[in-house]
Amino acid sequence: MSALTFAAGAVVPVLVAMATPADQTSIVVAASTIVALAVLGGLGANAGGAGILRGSLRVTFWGALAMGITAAVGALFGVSVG
Amino acid sequence: MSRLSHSEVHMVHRIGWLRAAVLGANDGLVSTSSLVVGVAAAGSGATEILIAGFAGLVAGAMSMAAGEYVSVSSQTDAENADLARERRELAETPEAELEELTGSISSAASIAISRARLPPSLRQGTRWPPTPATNLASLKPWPRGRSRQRWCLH
Repeated sequence: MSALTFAAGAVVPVLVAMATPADQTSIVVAASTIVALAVLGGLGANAGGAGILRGSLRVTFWGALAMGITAAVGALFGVSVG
Repeated sequence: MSRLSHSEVHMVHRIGWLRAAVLGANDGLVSTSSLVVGVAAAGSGATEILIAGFAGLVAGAMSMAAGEYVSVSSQTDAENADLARERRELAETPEAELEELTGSISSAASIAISRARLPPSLRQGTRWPPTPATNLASLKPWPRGRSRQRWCLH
């Protein structure tokens, strides 16, 4: 179950990265992922009969934090290598 | 009253698969896009970014499947081992197993005895034998000002 939903979730950033030029990838992928996370949080909360806003905010916040940290690490490597 | 006339909708039975589905989808989104954003932020080209994203997708999905299989089988193994141990103990030392079951009753009795030995000032509120709360009128809420109203015996 979680393997299938993992693939379904991972398809979103891969497809978006495929559709955008390399210089805009970071911003577009990050933005589309945040939107997808908000939708996922809302869907999950709705399926469980809980409040949609709470679930979607929680998922979005932690996802954005994870992406921000990874982007910072990537930028750090980019600076030190290039 | 028949069960059909009372149709209550509960979502708790969904918790198992909902948890797995939300975990998987959240992980897929966050880890793959983090990978893509990180590689892109390092100044890589479009091909490298795509390879990183696709590798993340495949690796993550396989890891999820393997992790689910391994964790469920280790839980099953532990449960089966526990069952086998209890069966062996029942066959080999039935007296000890009986003591294990009846021991809880005697420990409850010993708590009651030690309570009865308390000085009267500390014994307040402890009655032995305890009287069951058969009268609903004896149930009173906590005084106001508590964060949550609880019901207690007065």
